[in-house]
Amino acid sequence: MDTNQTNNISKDPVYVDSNIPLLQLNDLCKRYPGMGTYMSVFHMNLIIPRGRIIGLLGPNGCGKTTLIKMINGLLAPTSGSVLINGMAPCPATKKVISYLPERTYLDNGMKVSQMVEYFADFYEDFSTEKAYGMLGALGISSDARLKTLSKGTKEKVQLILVMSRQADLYILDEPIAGVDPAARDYILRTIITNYNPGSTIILSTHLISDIENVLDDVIFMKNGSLMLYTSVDSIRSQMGKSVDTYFREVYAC
Amino acid sequence: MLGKLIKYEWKGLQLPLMILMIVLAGTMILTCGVILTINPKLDETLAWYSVMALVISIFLYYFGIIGCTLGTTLIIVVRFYKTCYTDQGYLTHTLPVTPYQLLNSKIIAAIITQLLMILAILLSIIIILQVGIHHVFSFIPDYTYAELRHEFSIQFAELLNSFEDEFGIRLSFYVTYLLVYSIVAIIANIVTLFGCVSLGQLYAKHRIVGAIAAYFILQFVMMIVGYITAIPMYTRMLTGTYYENATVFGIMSPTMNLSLLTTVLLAVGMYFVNLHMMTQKLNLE
Repeated sequence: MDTNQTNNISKDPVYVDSNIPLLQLNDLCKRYPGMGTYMSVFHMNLIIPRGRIIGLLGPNGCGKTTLIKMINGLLAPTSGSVLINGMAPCPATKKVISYLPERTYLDNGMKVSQMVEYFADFYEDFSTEKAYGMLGALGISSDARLKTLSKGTKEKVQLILVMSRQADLYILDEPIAGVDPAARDYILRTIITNYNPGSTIILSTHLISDIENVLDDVIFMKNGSLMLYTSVDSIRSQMGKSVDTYFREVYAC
Repeated sequence: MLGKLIKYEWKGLQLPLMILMIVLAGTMILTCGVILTINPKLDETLAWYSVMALVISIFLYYFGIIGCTLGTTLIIVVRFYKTCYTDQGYLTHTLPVTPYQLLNSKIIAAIITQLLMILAILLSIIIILQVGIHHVFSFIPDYTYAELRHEFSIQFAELLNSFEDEFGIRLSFYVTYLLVYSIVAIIANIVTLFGCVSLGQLYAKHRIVGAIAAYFILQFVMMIVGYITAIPMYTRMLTGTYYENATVFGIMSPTMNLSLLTTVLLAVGMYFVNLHMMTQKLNLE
């Protein structure tokens, strides 16, 4: 991974005890109303350190998005807790998490430049220059209204906004699903070259072969439970398989 | 952060509000146009036309302001729903702000929007009245506008004197009371509508239908509460005839106060319903 990115953004120092994990899940459960006793996330315990690129992997419906929503404070856990820098989801944790959902969350009535201004207004760690730099590199006009852009272009704008922050934790939910291979390469390149090296990226996807080479660690989820949390290197060295091959074996129908 | 949130809320409401104000201005101009065609000096057929034109202009304007008032409420509710509970909610609820700030910003921006529409409607009424009065006076050359104002001031002074005798309070106090009541009612209405949209999120599917159902159920409950709060007024109206010193305000005030209290309680209750739904029950699709 490229860690030689320039960091010219003034950022308030975050006084976080280095012993406190970036993300900690304690016996986390989520049951949706009307789903009976079925738990979408089932007693998950996990500690995520800083400075890693982690693949959150699993088949559709295994609880990845539910877990991500709980980390972002978009869902209240049924039991257990989520701690980011030792704090439950709150404005302070939202300041340090840069989240890319699988949905397009931009206001279609706004111009690209207005969205940039919006992010700059709310996130202290947002770099306007970086955002305009990436928009320019992709040839996306900042005067364009979002409703006039294609779905793929909107997703790129969204990714640019998310990656223009100097966050502690980037959570990217299915960032490469539904885009063409060329766009996938661009998206992955954007992620790798623009993230804060001291921070962690959690990348949720089921398109493993495309992202395998950029990952440090992987989390396998099945039926809402944590199945495996290990490094990519250990899968390769101990099992002699690529993550993609191993994934196919684990989740074989 | 509250200021920034209000700024973006206002930006989002600005354009649809402006469109509604243009519609209001159009209705006002059309109404004034119809009023100006009225000519009572014409023959019988055309005099009938003048009466019809007057009726049409009143209806036209009435439906115009009803449409603009409902339209304003609609744009406020739709924006709240879109920004909080559709895909845009993923951005709204991950901003580094507290749920209080988020909700307060939406309520404040909505109140400003509603008040601006009310002011615009009042202004249009004043303009229409001015146009109407001046037009009528153009047919009565012996009667001047100054005379009318003079007569109006005499009538108003008489009203001031008789109002306190009839109502038991000064007109200025009554107007202030109604003003406070109206502002509280506007706030309560906005918070209630937001609360109903939030309650609709309890449904896994058909959330808009759920929100509408929640609104009608709540209105039904408030109607029953309204009947109960009216009991003191009816009681006093029945017994008031036996007392010579019974005043209108004396009869109405317990019900008005109870009504104001229930409106405040409703607003406070729905505010916390909103907060609860935004924090504990948030479940974006």
